[in-house]
Amino acid sequence: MSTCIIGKGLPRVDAVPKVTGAAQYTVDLKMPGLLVGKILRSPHAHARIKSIDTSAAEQLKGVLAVITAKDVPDGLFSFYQWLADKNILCGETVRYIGDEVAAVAAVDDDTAEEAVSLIKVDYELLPAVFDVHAALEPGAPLVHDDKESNSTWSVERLFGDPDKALAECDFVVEGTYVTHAQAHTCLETSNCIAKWDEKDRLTIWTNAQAPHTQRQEVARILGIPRRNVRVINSYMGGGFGSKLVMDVKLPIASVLSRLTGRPVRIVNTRSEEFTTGKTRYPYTMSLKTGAMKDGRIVVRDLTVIGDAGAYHDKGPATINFSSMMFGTLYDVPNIRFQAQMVYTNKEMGTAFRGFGNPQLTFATESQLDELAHKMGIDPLDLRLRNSNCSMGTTSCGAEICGCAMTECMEAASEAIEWSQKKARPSDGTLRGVGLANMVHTGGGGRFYGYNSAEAFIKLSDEGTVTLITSALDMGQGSHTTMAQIAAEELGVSLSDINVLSHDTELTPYDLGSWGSRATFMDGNAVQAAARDARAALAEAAAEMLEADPADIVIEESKVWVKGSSEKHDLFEIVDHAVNAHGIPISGTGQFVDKLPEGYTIPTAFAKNIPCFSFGTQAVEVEVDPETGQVRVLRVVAAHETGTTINQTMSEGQIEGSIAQGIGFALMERLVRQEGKVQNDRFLDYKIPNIGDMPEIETILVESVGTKGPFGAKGIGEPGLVPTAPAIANAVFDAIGVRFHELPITRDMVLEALKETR
Amino acid sequence: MKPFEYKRPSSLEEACTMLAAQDGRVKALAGGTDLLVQMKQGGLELDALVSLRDVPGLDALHLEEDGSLIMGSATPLGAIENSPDVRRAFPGIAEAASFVGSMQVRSRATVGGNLCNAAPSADTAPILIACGSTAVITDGQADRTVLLEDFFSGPGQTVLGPGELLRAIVVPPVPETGFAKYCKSFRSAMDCCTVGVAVYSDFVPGSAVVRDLRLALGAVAPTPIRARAAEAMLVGQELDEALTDRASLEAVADALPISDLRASAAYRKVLVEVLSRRALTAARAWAERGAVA
Ligand SMILES: Cc1cc2nc3c(=O)[nH]c(=O)nc-3n(C[C@H](O)[C@H](O)[C@H](O)COP(=O)(O)OP(=O)(O)OC[C@H]3O[C@@H](n4cnc5c(N)ncnc54)[C@H](O)[C@@H]3O)c2cc1C
Repeated sequence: MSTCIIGKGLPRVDAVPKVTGAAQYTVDLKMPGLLVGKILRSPHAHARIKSIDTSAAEQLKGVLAVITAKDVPDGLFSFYQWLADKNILCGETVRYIGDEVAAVAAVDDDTAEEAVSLIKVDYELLPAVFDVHAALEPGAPLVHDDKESNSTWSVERLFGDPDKALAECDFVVEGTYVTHAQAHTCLETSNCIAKWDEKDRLTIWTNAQAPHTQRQEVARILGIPRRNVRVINSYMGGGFGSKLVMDVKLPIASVLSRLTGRPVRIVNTRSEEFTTGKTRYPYTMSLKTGAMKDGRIVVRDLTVIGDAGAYHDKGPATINFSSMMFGTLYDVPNIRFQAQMVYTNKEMGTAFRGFGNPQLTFATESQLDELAHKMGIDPLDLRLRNSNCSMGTTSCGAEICGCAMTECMEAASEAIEWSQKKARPSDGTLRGVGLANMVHTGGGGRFYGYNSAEAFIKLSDEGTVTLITSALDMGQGSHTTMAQIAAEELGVSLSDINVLSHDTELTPYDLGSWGSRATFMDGNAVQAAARDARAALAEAAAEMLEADPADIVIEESKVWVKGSSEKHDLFEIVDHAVNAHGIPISGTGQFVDKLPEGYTIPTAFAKNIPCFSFGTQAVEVEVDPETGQVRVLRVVAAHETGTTINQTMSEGQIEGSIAQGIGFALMERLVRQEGKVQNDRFLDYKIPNIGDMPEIETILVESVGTKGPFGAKGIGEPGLVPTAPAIANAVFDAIGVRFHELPITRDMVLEALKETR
Repeated sequence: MKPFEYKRPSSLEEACTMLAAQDGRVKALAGGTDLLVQMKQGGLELDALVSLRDVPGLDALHLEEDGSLIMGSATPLGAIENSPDVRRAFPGIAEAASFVGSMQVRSRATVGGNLCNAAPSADTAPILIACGSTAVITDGQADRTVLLEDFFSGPGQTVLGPGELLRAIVVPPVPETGFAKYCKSFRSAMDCCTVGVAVYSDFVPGSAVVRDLRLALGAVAPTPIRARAAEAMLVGQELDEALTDRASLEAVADALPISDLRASAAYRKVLVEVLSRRALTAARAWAERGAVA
């Protein structure tokens, strides 16, 4: 189809306010009487609270409230309420360094800080456990002493007969792969303002990726009716999964506000963000892959131990998602996935761009290269022989539609000149090339037992189109893509559209911006709403122009009757319709992602994914044999977009993902000693900067067969998934050393090189 | 952050008087890129800050007639990096300045702040020590000078007494036969150095024979230091590959690194050797290219 707006690299609709500083973030908001809230956090990894003395803090001038566990509802919270394990404020036990113990509200930062320092807590230290393997030992200290063991959640998936396949196949490789805690490092730290009104209604201003589900979570933990909670999003400085599940600072600020009768703002310091803002789940993965002589992979068998940290949060959901991706990347007939999440006395993990998939793909795609090496087959060739193709159903039930896996491999390998890699000049530097494939959801998931979205559009007589969608923009640009979808479908220009997504009072219920879902889900709803509004407009225009609605053409904010050369300004028609004829023009749209037949939550497995997105990254690295420094010189990233909605932003999502992927592969890791984070600032926790970034060539591969708006699918996460294994494979190509642990640091490389000499 | 007094003297004398008061709970404020971070995050509590911005002459940056370079202590690193004079006559210093932080940081951060903060990893220290620079210290009345290599007395500590300011840095002229370079690991931007090595070498004209040489190391001891044993091996010798290797190994013996989050002591030793070799190799290449008159 020919399109005017879809696919163009149009500038973001929020570019100007962001560049000029007009954009208001939660920390910029001003309100009469606004107080500062601060949290007293546990200095111990595991301890019993014997007593808390808040009297000195209460007496400090400028302090309006001091709260402890006895002042807050004593229910437990978790993302899945049936797994609830976390207090708002710890009353009896603290379980990691950073756990919330008490909180204050005061007139300014300094007073709040001083008040926190005046609270005296008497702790009895308990034995703590930091390592998943130690935590699984019999007799290990229990992180939650009401539970039988530290193993908190397990998953088993079995397809085919892996044992038989392993016994019968021609080649088997096995290995153990380890990844560590990576921080989200959003530019804007987690924060909120809570305020009650005279009608007992609570409003929370925050930077939530899922305001509607957080509204429910706040109501649930505070024990108040949902209709009494409203969440308003400010501009957001990044999410990456960290702002998906409610943080307890929301109920804490709410209680402080309740007690003081004034709005209370709590903002994480950068150190709090690093030490309590939650991380990517560390995985230890023992993997076996078996193949036949002809290169067919016949079996994959994986055991994962995930490090949950002190509380569940998104751990169970993350490991479940890993199992779905494990069974889908290639169509392998025999699959076994066994996993458990394990409590430790550390900062908990949560959702993080890729959601358990980057860890997993590091193991699977590294091992595929090891297999290729063992079999003497080119790694690209081995992957091509096992490529997924469109419209198939894999052994684990994943329905693959619109799949361009082979095209992605071909495009990436061609651009990196894969076939010439053996013939690369050797000028003394150690260079290598590697690639990795990925699969991810391109449209969220049906994990809640449903997956749906809604949007509203109104055309106003003053000349604007207001689009109300729940696709909130955390920096990824969804306001722009939603505006593009609406503009294209409606026949107006992008600048005519005003997007509202920030207020739960205004927007329809939605599961939020995660799982690369907004473009696919909300985009479909927006397209439907625009189609509906367009029909209303055509009808009104037909009446005014005395024509058949079917003959009305609407394009680029002009309206005319097919065949006629007289073009009318669209908003003049709207004005006329509204003000002269009293015809309102609006549209609503829903998208309900139909559940497959026989769907049940416990058995759905890969049938939870409405659309898959494949991709390939090929990288070239250079290794400095003297310092062990790995430099990524080039990345070619070929990813499926279905249909590209906005070229520039799709490329931006992929480039940003690759930056986080390079960090995951080569530098990022929260270092702890006895549970205490040592690198809680950017001086010591390094993320890639512009000088570390390679040349990136993104190739957006379009494919058909997806039910997204104009055929689009999500591209928010895929770019991070294959980067680390592609780098590890390239490092192997460069120096002949296989790393099974991330990040691949300089001293690891140097040590390994020493051993090979 | 605790409240503090902000003072803006308009002369050196006034500034030094202010710095002498308040029992040491007062510090000079130049660009603030170290100091304010320490106050906001590092728990440093002060009663007063004495801003140097209105004190005349502290941002002087010029070449003397004899070719020496005068840098007022409050000269921003960005001005040093971009000065045509410095780039021409002291390219190694301009380059070292360009390695600090980011462009935004360099437009505030001063050379005096970098040195007075006395981090073992301060990026301008090794190159300025290698070039034989002198620190000009004032108490508001009179100046005294010390060699920059003697300026540091420990991590975060200098020889400055109460009421004293670093007024300027004087870098002696580099002869046409002289070469200076700073090698930093790792990143070119926004990274505190893991190890830094600077070399200054003066060659016998038309050869790679070393007439005079200083090798300075950063981030491998409580203060920036000179690798004197390595220097001794090199002076009077022809700098060839074998000698470069031996001297680089010797430099490791001069280093007393610690393990921290950025690197282990053992890894820092590897870097001292590698970066010393790279710095010396650059000097040798320069001499062999016939850059020496
Ligand atoms: C993001 C960031 C990145 C950085 N990257 C680097 C880097 O790559 N390399 C590096 O070396 N440093 C780096 N730094 C540290 C800092 O920027 C430098 O050390 C800088 O040169 C300090 O200068 P300043 O003018 O800001 O000093 P200030 O912070 O103003 O002062 C530092 C100290 O020196 C004292 N002082 C200043 N001037 C005088 C004077 N004339 N006499 C006596 N005492 C004085 C102050 O009292 C204070 O104790 C970085 C800092 C930041 C925030």
